Order: sequence, then C-alpha cells, then structure tokens
Amino acid sequence: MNRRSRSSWRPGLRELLLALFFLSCLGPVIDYDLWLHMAAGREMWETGRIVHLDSFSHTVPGAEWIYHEWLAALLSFAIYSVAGVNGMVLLKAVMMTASMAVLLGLFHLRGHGRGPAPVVALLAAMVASRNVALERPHLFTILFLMLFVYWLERQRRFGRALPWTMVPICALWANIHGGFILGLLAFGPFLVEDVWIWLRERYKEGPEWVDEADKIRNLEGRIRRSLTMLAACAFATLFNPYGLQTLLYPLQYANPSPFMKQIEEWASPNFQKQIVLEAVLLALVGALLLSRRSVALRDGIFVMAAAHLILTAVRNSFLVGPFIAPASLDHLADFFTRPGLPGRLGRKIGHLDRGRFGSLLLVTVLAGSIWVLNSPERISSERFPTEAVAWLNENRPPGRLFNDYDFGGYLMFNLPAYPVFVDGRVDVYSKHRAFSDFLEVWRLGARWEEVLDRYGVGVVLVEQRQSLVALLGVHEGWEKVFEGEVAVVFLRRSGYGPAQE
Amino acid sequence: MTAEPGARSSPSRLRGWLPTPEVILLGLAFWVGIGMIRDFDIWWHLAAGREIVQTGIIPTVDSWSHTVAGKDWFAHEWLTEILFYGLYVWGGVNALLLWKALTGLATLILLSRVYQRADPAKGPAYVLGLLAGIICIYYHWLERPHLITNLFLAVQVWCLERWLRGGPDRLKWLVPLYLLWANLHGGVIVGLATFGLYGAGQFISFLADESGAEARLRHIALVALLCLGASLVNPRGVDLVTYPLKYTGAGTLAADITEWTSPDFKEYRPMEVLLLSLLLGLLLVRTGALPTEVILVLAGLHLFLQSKRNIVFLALFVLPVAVDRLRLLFKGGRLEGAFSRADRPGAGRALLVAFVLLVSVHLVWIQPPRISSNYYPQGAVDYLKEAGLGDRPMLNEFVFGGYFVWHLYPEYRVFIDSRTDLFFDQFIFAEYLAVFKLAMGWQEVLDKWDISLMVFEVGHPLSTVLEATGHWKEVYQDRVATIWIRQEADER
Repeated sequence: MNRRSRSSWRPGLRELLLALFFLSCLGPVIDYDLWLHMAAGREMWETGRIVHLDSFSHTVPGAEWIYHEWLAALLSFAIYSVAGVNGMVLLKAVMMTASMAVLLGLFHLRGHGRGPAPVVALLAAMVASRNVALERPHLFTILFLMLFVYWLERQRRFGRALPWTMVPICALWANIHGGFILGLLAFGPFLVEDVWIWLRERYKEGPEWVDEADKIRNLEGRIRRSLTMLAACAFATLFNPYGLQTLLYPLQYANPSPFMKQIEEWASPNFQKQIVLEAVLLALVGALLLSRRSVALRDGIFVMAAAHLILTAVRNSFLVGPFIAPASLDHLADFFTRPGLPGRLGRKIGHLDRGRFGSLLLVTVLAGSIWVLNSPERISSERFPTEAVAWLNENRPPGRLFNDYDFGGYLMFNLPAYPVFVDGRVDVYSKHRAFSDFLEVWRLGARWEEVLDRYGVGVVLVEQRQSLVALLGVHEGWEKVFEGEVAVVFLRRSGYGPAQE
Repeated sequence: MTAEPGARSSPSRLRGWLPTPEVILLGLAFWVGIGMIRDFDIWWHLAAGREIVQTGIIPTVDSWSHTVAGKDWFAHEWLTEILFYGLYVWGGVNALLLWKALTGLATLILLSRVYQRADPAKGPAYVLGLLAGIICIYYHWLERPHLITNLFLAVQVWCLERWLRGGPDRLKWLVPLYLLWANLHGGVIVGLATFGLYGAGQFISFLADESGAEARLRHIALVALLCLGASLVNPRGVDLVTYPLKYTGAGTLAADITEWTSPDFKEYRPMEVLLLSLLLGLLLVRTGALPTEVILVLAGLHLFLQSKRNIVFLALFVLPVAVDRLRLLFKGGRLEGAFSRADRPGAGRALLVAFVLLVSVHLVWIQPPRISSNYYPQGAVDYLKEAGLGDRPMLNEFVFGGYFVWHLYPEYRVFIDSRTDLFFDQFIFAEYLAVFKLAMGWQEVLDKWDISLMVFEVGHPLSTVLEATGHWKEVYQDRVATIWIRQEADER
C-alpha cells in the first residue's frame, strides 16, 4: 500500500472528535424528566388519545395540560418499548452527533471545511452542548435548529432557495418541543442583515458590516422568499392539538417563576462548575480581540443573542454550536495564521485533520450502537430512588404521596399506584395553589403540617439530603420506614393527622 | 455678525463653573457611595481594632469563639483594623462611611486616569467607561479592608499603563505602597499577580520580537521582586502574603458564601448589560489587540465569572480596553464634539472638592449614625444582654457572628463568625453548614458542642425543625432574628 492510499484511510481530527463525542453521549440516563415523558407516552399509547388534562397527580387532577411535547413522548415510549432505556441513550447519542455533523456542513458552507478553525469551533460546540446531552425532546430542537441555520446560510452564501422541507419540519417541531420558536427566530438575523444591505445599497452609506458574500443582485427577491418561508413555517406550527396555546407556551420562559429560577438548568450558569463553558466563551472573546476582521451583521446578532441566552440560563449553552461557532470561524482562522506559535499550532492541527472523513465515524456508531443495545440498563444508580420505589411497590402503605420535585417524573412512570404531589411540569402546577402548597412543605414553612393534612399525605418520599428529612426525622408524627442510598421513605404514624385511605 | 467681547465672556465664565459630566458622575458616586452601614464583617474588624488598641498586641490566637478558642489566628488586616477603630472612636459609624466613600472616590479618579490612557479627551467613550466603572466599584462598595486593595490596585495599573505608554516611570512608588498594602489587606497577592499578567504580555511581545519588550519585561520583573520584598515586611512574613491562596477554589467557601459565588445574571441585570455591552464593543470595533490587553481582558472576565465580588477586575482590566475601542467608534461624531465642548478643566473639579467637603462635614458632625435598624440583630443583642444567657454555648448565624463579637464579647462567645480562614481551617464552617442546611448529622453537631442557645435569621426552616423536636423553645423574635433555647427535661 503506498503512502497516498494509507493517508486516504486515515481518519481526520474532526471525524475523530465526532466519534469520541458519540461515545461520550452513550453515558447512563441521569435526567429526571425522561420518565415524565415516557409516562405520558405510555398513557397516550394505552388510551389512544393525546393528553389534555392531568391524570398523574393527586394535587391537580384534571387540570389543563398543554403538552407541547406529546409527539416526542410517544416516540420515547415507542423506543423504550422496543429497546428499553438504552434505546433512548442511543437516540441521544445519534441526535447529538448528527447535530454536530450538520454543524460541520455549516462550517463547510462558510469556507472552512477543514483545518484548525473548524476543529476548534467544533470542539467548542461539542463541549458546550454536553450540558444538554440528555434523553429529552430538546434533542430535536438542537438538530432542527442546526438544519435551519444551515439552510439559511446556504441561501445567504450561494443564493440557493430555502427548501420547503422546512415547513413540515416546523409542523413536526411544534409537536415535539417548545424550542421550535428558535427556528422561527433564526430567520431574524438573516433578514435584518438583508434589509440592512438593501438600505445601504439604496443610500450608499453605512459602516463596513458585511463580507464578500453580500454581492448579490436579487436581494429583494431573497428577502421576499425568506419572509414567505417564515410565514409558511409559522403557519405550520399551528398544526398541533393545542392550536395557538402551543405558540404562546415558550413565552412563559421569558419571565420564569421564582421557583424555575432555582432549577439548575434554568439558572444562570455557575461558572465555578461550568469551567469548560467559561473556557469556550473566553476563547471566543480572545479570538474576537485578536482578530481585525469585520463581523457580519447576522453573526453579531447571533453572538449577542446567544451570549444573552447563555448567561441567563445554562441550558442554552448548546447555542454555542449554531450561533457562536460559525461566527467565530474567520477569527479563529485569522489567529491560526499568525506568525509564531499560533501559526505552528494551526499547521499541526491542519496536518492532523487531513484524513478521509466517514469510515471511522461509521464504524464507531455501529459498534457503539450494538454495544449499548446489548448492555444492561444504563441508568445512573446515584440519581433515582430505585430501591425506595421497589419498597413502596412491595409494601403499598396507605395514604397519598408527598414527593421530591426531582423524583416526580420517575415516580409517574415507575410507581403509578401513587399519584404524585408534584413533578417537573412546573407549567401545570404553578397555575394552582398546589404548587405554593408544595413549596410551603418543601421550605419547611409554618403551615407544612396543615398542607400535608389537607392533601391526606401519608407517605413521604424525598432525597436523603433534603431538609424535610431532618424535620420528619425529629417529628413524633412520622416514622422513617425505609432508607436507601438515594432516598428516604417516611410514613405517618397512626393517630396523627387525617385517616389514611 | 460679531458679538461684543464683554457679552461673550460672561456666559462663558458661568459655563466654566458648571460641572462637567465627569464631575457629575464622580460627585454622584461619592454621594451614593456613602450609603448606610450594611456590612456584617465590619464589626469583627472593629473588635480586632479595639483589642489591638487596648492590649497593644496583635492577636495571634482566637478568643471570641467557644469552638476554636486558642487556635492560631492572626489579624492579617491589623493596620486597617486599627484605622477603623480609630475612625469609629473619632466619628462613629459615619466616619467609617466617609472613609468608604473617599476611598471609592479615589479609586474612581485613578480609574478615570486609566481610561484616558490612549487619549486624554473626555468624550462619550470616556464618560460611558467611567459610568461602567462606577457600577463595577459600587457593586462591592462596602466598609471593609478590600477597598484598600481596590485603591492600591488602581494605583498600580495606573502607574503601569502610564509607563507602558511612554509616560514617566513611577513604578518605584509602588514599593512603599506594597509595604503598607501587605499590612492593610490580604489582597496584596492580587497586586503581585497583576505584575505577572503584565509580565506575561511583555513576554509574548518579546517572543514576537517586539522591540523594547525584553527591557520592559526585565523592569516589571525587577519592580515585582522589590514589591514582593516590601510586602514581606509584616509581622507574619510570607504567611501573610500567601494565605489567600489557601482558599482559592475552596469549594465550600466559593459555593456557600454569597459574595464568593458566580454572578447570577438573572438576579442582577446590570452585570449582564455590562458584559453584553463589552461584547458589542468588541464586535463593532475591529482593531486587534496587544498581548497584554488580551491577557488582562481574559483574566478580568475569568475572575468575575468565577466570583461576583471580583467585579472590580472588570473595571480595572477589561473596561480600559473597551473604552479605547469605544473612542474609535465615537471618533469624529457629533456626540464627541458635544462632550468636548462640555469639558471645562479646573472649575468643575473645584466644585467636586467643595461638594465632597460639604457632604463630609455634614456626615460626620451633623447626621445621626447611618445604620439600619432592620438589618442587624440589635434587638437580639439587647435581649441577650438582658437575659444573661452567656453560660449557654451558642450557635449563631454566620453573618451575625461579627456583630455579636463587637457587642456581646466577652459575655457571649460565638460559634462562628465571618473570619472564614479560621473557621474553614478548623472544619467549623462545615459543621455550621450541616446545621443550617439541616443536612445529615445536624443534631450530632448540636450535641458535640452542647449547644443550648441558638440565634439565627427569622423565617429560617430551622425554626420549624426546632419546634418539632419539642426540646427547644423560642424566647425572642423580631423582624431580624429569632432566639431559641434548649429546654431541660423538667422544663418540657
């Protein structure tokens, strides 16, 4: 075999990174909400109807539930029925890797198919998205958003019309995850830039905002096409069981409740823990500082929007991929062509990235899929109250349940005999008194006993470290009957509080 | 048509006395910066100052707590504590507020000089930068020794920037400054690290064969060494300079003490606006940057993202670069013209001096003590003085510790106060957290220290749990604090 044919089979650095990323996404299930979706999927599968009302809790039974992720729930349950939890793990790894592959396509569109810049940008996107590599419907948002930005960029660069595929995707998206609004918003920076160029062409004034690809004659036609597609996509999102309410749903996240702010994924990033995310953001700032290249208007808007969204909620860190990484390519490339160490480093990375793309990734995905589907259930033993649930299923003590907020979804799926007090559906509970009642007990407020009495609670299942454990542990009306590695179960002693059902 | 000379000079003279935007901003910053006494740490600093003045000895062991009494503790900020106590004796808490406002103002004046490093004009970029600097400094503008580090660091950055941009070499001034700094506040290590950042920038320039970089690097290294030597002239030698390093990245401290936590951009929007404005500036003005600038910006952002109390590094390291870029953005514009016309050197500053003097006199000699009665547990202190429960081992809220040391020592000894170095080392902080977070083993901590008196913030979940035990009784509660005592078996 000669030297040329050897190198043609050698994997490039981007492919190696994608393969490693795929493997890293095969980690065990750690997310609580997965179970909530699977419980809802099972319910819909069994009843043959899309859920509109709550049937999982004893605190808000029959309450209105706009379940904008119903299709993802059905899909999750179907995968679970066929391949178990590991099927969901595999779905996560495939979706995340596919999203990064689309991102590489986007880099290619922008003239950075290979070399140090796309390698570094891809690495940044991958590490930033690790925060959201969970088995949840937002996986579809990550992939669809990458695709939308890709198509919009392709139109912008090469004048190719936006594909009508975007319309059915939007219809699907609106029934899978509330993040479909990001797909519609992604049109914004492109439209603003086009309008800006149009105005500039008309008045022949303005600062140097745009790059070479702005030399396009049919600007008005492009603006019209984009607006038409945007309108069609927005209209497509109305094809869902809840109509306009689905469209309004994402707006509640613009002004989250105080409780939502305490949920880690909705909180501002704690950079003491998010060291990698911080490194990515600082690297971007460093690249911007060093580079003298101009920044396209759409890129500036994307970067500002992503920075705002990431600083206000850590779950938005995946936006480094579609919004920040493409915008930073030119500046990274600029850095790696500087004399001295950056240039040498760039050449080295470029050399490592020269291999053929495809074979290693294909083999890794196939081997990883076979391995994960034949492994024991990949569920983190430190996260879920598996033993406590087994104890309750076996002993069936009387009384309604008060449960840890985090455990709610897991209990919905694994302990259907006990309707939950609360679960991850904050949007359902927060409209009712039950949620403030939950917080009263959770924060050990003065009315905690009265709340538990009113709801007829006889069983409490909470995580070991919660302060409620300290309270019930010293209260004579409650008895600790089970203590596992993760959770504790308390039962009301007979004679205290209301009679138990 | 020409105007009469006399007619033109009159409004011009009047306009000369009008305050410029810079003077208005600095005056407002000074006035708002006075505020009220709102920090909890000030009280144990005062207590340390009192002890040093009364005994003539800098304490080397703890005597205020019943948990770590006799353990090694040195008052690292001993000179500031003497200063604080002296001010308090002279003018009460208002004198401390005046010190805070004057130190903050001096820091801002130095910062304003740093923001003029590329251009002395006080255009819109400079004014915006100064406003952002005020926001940064104001966020952690408390009557505590760290203000000295802010001030001295501003002096250091100002000296370095002037010299690096061809101005006079005043770096030798920093040597005596470090002698003082090491005895005033533990932040002296930050100053030494700042030499490291500037040195690293010059080293990169040296690698890129930039002329003069090697000489500059040598000079910075020499001054840094001299400053290090000067900072070692203190009662504890190396230990006093390096002790903050022990707590860098200490998990519990960083996660559980609010001011050490990562900034919450949802809670404090101005921080986000500030960061996004900086990012916008970088996107709009594309000039490239010197290695030193890149290092300072990244260091400033890193320190701030790790801990919100480090916001001062945004003002010192990041804003100068942002102001330079903003200047290019505004260059030649109408706004720049308007600002340069409004700039009247001299008279505006006299107005600022007069304003500061007037406010200072009013604050120290006329105003009543500016201390919030709803902020400190004064009611609990009065109750405890009256009740005579000093023989009961107490468990107190962390933030109340310093206040109790100042008001209740030696009758009462605290469980913990905000001398985090001492209590973190002796694992008391972890035990305190176990109780106040009601974690596993919280009752063992109470038993271990035989706690029979607890004082903490009203509304804390601990109240519900203590009541549920049936062994504790609430004996006092007001809007700030609640006091619980353990009941003996015969009392229940």
